[in-house]
Amino acid sequence: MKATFKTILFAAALLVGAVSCNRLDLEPKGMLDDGTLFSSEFGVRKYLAGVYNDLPIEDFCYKYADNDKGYSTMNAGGYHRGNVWEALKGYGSTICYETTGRGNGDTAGQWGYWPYDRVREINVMIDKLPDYEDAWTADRYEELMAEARFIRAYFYFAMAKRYGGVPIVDKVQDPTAPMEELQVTRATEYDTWKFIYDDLKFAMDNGAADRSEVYRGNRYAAAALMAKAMLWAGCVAKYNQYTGITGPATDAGLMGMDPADAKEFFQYAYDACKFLHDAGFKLHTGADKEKAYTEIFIEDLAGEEDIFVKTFGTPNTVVPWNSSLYSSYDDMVLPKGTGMAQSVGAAIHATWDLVSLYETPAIIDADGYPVRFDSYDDFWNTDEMEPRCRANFFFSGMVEPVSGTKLDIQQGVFTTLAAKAADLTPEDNNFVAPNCIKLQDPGKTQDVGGFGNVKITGANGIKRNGDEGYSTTGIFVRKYMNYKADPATRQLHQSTQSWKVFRYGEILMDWAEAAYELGLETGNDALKAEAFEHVNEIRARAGAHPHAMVASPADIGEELYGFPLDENLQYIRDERRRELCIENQGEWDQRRWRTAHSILASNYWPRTLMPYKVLNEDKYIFLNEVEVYGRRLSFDKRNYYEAIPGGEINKNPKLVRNDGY
Amino acid sequence: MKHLFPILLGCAVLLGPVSCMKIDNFEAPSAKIQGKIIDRTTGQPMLLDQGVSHIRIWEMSYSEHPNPQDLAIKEDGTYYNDKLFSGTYDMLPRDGAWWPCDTTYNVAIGKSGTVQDFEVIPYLHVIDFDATLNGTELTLTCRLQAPVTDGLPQIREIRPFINNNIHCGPGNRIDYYYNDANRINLRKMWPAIGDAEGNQTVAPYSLTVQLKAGYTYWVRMGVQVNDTYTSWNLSEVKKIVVPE
Repeated sequence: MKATFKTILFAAALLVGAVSCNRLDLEPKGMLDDGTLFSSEFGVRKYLAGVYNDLPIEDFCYKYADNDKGYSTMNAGGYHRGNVWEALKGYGSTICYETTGRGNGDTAGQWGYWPYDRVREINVMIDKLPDYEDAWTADRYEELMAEARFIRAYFYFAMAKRYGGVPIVDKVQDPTAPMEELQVTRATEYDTWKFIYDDLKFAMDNGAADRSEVYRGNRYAAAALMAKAMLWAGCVAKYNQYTGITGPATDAGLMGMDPADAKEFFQYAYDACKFLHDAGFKLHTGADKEKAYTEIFIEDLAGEEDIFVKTFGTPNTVVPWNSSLYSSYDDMVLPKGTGMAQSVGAAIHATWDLVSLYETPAIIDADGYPVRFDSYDDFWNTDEMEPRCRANFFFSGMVEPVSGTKLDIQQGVFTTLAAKAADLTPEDNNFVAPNCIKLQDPGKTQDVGGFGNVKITGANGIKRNGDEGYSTTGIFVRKYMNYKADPATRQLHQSTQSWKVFRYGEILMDWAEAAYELGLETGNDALKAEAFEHVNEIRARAGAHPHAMVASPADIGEELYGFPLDENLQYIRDERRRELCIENQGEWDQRRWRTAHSILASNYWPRTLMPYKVLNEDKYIFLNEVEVYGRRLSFDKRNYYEAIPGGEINKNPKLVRNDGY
Repeated sequence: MKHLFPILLGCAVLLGPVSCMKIDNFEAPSAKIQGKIIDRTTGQPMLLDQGVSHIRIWEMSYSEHPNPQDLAIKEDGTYYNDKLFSGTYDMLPRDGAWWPCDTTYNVAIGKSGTVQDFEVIPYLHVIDFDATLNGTELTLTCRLQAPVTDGLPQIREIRPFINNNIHCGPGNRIDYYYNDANRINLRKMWPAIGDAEGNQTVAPYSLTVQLKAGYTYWVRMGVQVNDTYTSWNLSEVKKIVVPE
């Protein structure tokens, strides 16, 4: 035992002793250092790949509420998880009643987004790149610096639109610095937006000028973000005063800005849109307007309408479950069926509230009775419906192009019908009208006295005892549906269509709004008229009739929102909803306009477009009944600004809470 | 080497019991506080709804930057909590339809119980509230009175709150009656509110709703102003029995 013990001690001494002679500060061979990363194109791409993946882009996989809410990014845990397939169930379009789905209800959408870890990453690049300036040409060096500042602005934009003023950290913080320095106070909301402006202005002036490179932050992506962010800032300056929220954060300028600052921000937005126009971006058009409109979201339109694009996976590869490199869009949006959605199907359903904004045939006549159609096709297969509407939605009778399925949606039948539409559509989702037969399940027939065995519900809906796979509103979403997909990929985590982060269509809508707001601020009628040129450019591409500006517009805002808003501006906003619906914009637009709490004041109940057959007349009607599941929407106005995350206040007590929390 | 097993066993025996030990030297929180939210203009407790308004408290004796906690206020304007830690607290009534009031500092809360009342000035009073039943049709009327009109935020809307139990208000209501058809949409500042004479409106606001025969309802009316919390000033609750 003794001998063993001595041997062991000796061996231990030898082992430990030898270590002390080793040099421990060798460069580890498995890690890439600054020099490797910031002195070559490959190095920078390697460094930025992760940062791009983390950009706060509200794409197919963005979920605003409930479990796993957040952006689809590679960083698991906390506020961002990978591409959980349920993302579409909490899709942003459900809380601005563009669609209904399980995401309805919780409009708070807060998960404490606080990406200062990502800001630090990009600050490291801004800090270290100058050490390797010699490795680059002067132009390329500026381009990379511009790209970094574009990315930083993107993270700050995602915070500013949630919290108002946030701490501005533009240097790499040293963890050993005194606590006093590390705890940064919130900048005012004005200074935060100006910080974003400075970064984007630099990126616009110095960024890469190749329009065809749409996957990285070039000067055009920066201009597009500039338009969006500055329009947001202008609206906050102008409209936040009407929310009536008061408190220490408002008094300190952390929430809201001086209304006089609106003009400055609207001008920045206007200039950025003009910059993109002058750079040569244009709308994608085609002889077949419906087809051309669907191509915007599926085809590669670099150099034409695409400004900044996020790509998803490669078709027909083995996909890891929950990979954020793929989405589940097709499987979660199309109806279930052969060649269509394979596993889930139709988790979101378009509403009549949205579709009725488009040019469509009337469903109620002048006397208040439901219009009789000879077939369901007569609703959509006519010149009365604008092609953009057909390109965005599937109605009963339309053919899903990949599977060739003729979609069959019917809620029920009337044996006879004499009532007015209003009497058939009360605010009651269990209402059954006299002489009406409704069933719970899709694809059912029944013996109806005098008419034999007739179809009651369509094969693709309506379904009232289950909200997925089949229609619950009479309208399926078509926008972004990949018409080139192999049917085998219409499964979870298999969709590969790109997300158009910024497209010129959005820029024209930004431009119209900024021009009109600027016209109001400065009393310039030429600017107001210009706004409607942009609106009509959008409408021409959509195949809709041009709309003339009203010369002396009525104020429609007082009654709706409690503050003035003229009908022309409301029209521009409605056009924005028509053009950008189901692209995760509507939710944010309503927050930006400070209208959500007024529109949703009575627990908004979205409407549907329920197709029925009237048996004795052999005609077809549509009723705008309330949504089947009683999914109503409300909005607490304090949520225009989200709460500063409690954990961050614990770490940094200098952070002032937002008012209302 | 062959002693390794006994050594390991000894360690397990020694360390094992530690996991069974309970060391919790903190007593359960049992300090009490209670009181009322009093309408300064009438001296009476505020008419509220369950769980809508709160008193925010900060336990200042615990930390310099404590996390706030919210105590619920009951529908009769009183509050009671006996699950707090003893200490000194800052307190502020909020989430209610009253003019912003000052924080009350350094309230000592102990096990023997503390009584702390708060005086607030409501934005509006719902006065002359009446509910008349005609068959199954219920007509609700009220007028508004503003204790302070200077700087009063925009008045947004008047609504009925109807429930089938005694708890009735914005947080306890039958949703069926909560829609655009059953509201008076004002969206106006006090001087523009129509026939406001001094600090009262003259003509009554009136709403009609259809009830079901054979049911008993509790009803009240509320008015909302555009302040931070857009909470409701409420009338008293009336019981309505609809005959079969």
